[in-house]
Amino acid sequence: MPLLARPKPPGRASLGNHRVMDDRAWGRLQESHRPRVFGLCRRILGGIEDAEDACGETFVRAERFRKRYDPSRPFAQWILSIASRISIDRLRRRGLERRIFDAAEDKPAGWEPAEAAPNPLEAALAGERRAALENALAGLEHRDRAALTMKYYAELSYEQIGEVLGLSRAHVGSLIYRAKRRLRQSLVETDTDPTRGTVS
Amino acid sequence: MNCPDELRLSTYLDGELDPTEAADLERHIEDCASCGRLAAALRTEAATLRTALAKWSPAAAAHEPSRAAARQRPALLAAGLAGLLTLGWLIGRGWSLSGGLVPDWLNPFSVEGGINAMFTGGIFIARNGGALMTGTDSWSLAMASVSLFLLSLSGVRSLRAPRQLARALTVPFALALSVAAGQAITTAPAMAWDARSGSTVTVAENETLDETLIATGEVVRIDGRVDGDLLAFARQVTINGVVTGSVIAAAQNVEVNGEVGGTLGGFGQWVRVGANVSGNLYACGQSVSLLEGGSVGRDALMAGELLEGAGTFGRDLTAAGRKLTLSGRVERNLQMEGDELEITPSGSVAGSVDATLPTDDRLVVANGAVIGGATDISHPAAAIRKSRYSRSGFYIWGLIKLAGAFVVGALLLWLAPRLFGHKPDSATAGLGRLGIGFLVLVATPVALVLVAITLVGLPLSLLGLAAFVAALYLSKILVADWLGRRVTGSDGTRPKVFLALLVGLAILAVAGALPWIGGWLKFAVLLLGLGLLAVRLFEAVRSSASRNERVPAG
Repeated sequence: MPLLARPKPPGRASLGNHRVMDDRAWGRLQESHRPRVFGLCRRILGGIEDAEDACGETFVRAERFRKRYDPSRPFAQWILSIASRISIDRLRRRGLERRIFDAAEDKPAGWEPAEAAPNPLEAALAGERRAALENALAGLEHRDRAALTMKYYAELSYEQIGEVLGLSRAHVGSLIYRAKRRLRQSLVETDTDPTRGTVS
Repeated sequence: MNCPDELRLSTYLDGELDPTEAADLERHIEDCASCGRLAAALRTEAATLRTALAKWSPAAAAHEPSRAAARQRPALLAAGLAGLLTLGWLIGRGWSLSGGLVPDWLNPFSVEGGINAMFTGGIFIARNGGALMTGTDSWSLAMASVSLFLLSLSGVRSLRAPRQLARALTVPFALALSVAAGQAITTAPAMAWDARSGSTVTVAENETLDETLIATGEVVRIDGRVDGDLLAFARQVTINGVVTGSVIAAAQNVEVNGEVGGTLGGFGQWVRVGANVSGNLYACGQSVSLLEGGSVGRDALMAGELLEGAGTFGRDLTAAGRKLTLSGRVERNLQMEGDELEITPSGSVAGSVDATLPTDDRLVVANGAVIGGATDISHPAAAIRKSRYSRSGFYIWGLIKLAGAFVVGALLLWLAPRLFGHKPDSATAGLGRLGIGFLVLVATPVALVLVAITLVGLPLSLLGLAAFVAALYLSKILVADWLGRRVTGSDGTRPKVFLALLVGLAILAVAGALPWIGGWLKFAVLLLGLGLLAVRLFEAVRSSASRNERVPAG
């Protein structure tokens, strides 16, 4: 019995359901997605200039592969996949995150006792500790932040993320799960480390 | 059903489990209190993450994760600077110890060696431009065209022309531009000039042209009369007739025997002038001669390895080269910088002789030679070799230049921040910028000359020239900015970019001051900077054209 099966069809509002799309509609569609594409690149890459470059490259590439876009599917996921791929490529070229492509690192995990339950994030939601959560996000390794961004910011499916990273869906599930655990872990450490932040 | 592990639960909540399994799990969660709690917590966690990621602005966190690298950077920087300084000192020291035993013009990294190489390359392109375009059987031509093609290709590719067709068209266009500017001239619609090309371009003895002539070809031969200016690019340029205007001739072999009414500029491997030149003479080549019977009405500037003056120089003669042999007359002063100066019995200088030579005995004045004024020999060459790095002026000027560049750069960072922060983040992208820089460097002067020739365009051309010079200066600043950000790991926030710029400029200043390789590094920086600038401007134009205002943050 497979652990993972086909993803559910994306539930987000589909923005690209026109059969025929003229240039102006296409341009508007692109423009309306620019902030999110830029946001994605920035979250994965960190730096502003680099993100601007990646964002620009995304739209150039989208223009080039315009014919490949299937209007019956959500435009957002299509363009965010492209943006993810470009950003990850840039990370890889920067040499900052070689391990992101190392599939061996992310063997589908079996049962592991959770040393940190999801509670730390819940606590962070309370508000006073938002700064701690943001620091923890910033402190994540690029690969973890990229995985979380693709899933919870871009709302890509495991399969789409897998295509971007060259990993199987099972690997992607494990990667995201581990990234979340590491995020919790770093929040817990902040709590117990008297030199950083205060316990609310 | 057993309790699912957390990964499985998380996968389920991400909506990635297959429907039957998901249904099973859903039922289990309803029954099992602990799994229900875990699922609820995970759901909240996912929601928290969505909110946090949507709001999170990574400005403060930029580049932050590579903490180890950040810690190493100052150390790396210091080590790199120290290494550069040591290398520079060692090379400078070695050079001064050798006492200049190796003639400077033989050193491929010297200015003379560079000029030599430039001429070889330039002549090759001028000579083979046409053949490169149409293709020939010679392997060297194939090699040259392939490398030029790749260079242009990488340059154009990184321009990221939006449509494939546009890109496909741009490549041959760029190729044509970089390979055969001369060819382009001849195909341009003739307006105020007559353009001729072919394997042999001849103006016959009885022929008279009453306009400017631009001639390109294997051989350009003027036996008749040109009542205008002459621009000639060829392997062999021979002028036996009369040109009433100015002449600019670039060829492997330039021979001017007739009459030139204006200024003569001759560039090539051999430049021989036996003509009566009414204006100034600017001659540059491996071997440059003013033959017996030849004369220059005004000033003459000769540069090259071997210089010979057998004719009459109407005013001053300024020469730079390894050896100058003067057997003719200089009506005013002679100024010479080089290794050797010989004035033969028939030679005469009406004014003074001011020579910069390694030692006094390098000046040989034969019996019978006449020098009207004073003779002055200085030896700054030795001083330069020994102490370019030990003179305080060198450092003071370096600091002044550095400060100037920093002020200009900081102003620009303040006024036009969009110009900066450009990162060719891979070797290919970097090479692409180099290619673009090369195109800009080659194409701009050609375009300016073409515009200037039409006379109407002269003011335009002067403006263009000013912009070009400014771009040349800017190129260094852009590269410094890029390099500085790279080294300091600056994230583009205000105080840090200025520091990055300063660091970058300092590195460039030190690298550029290295003996031998310094000049080449400067050239590479120039190309890279021009490429960066061109790409930046291109992107700015394109984005303003497609009404793409600034990308909103976050």
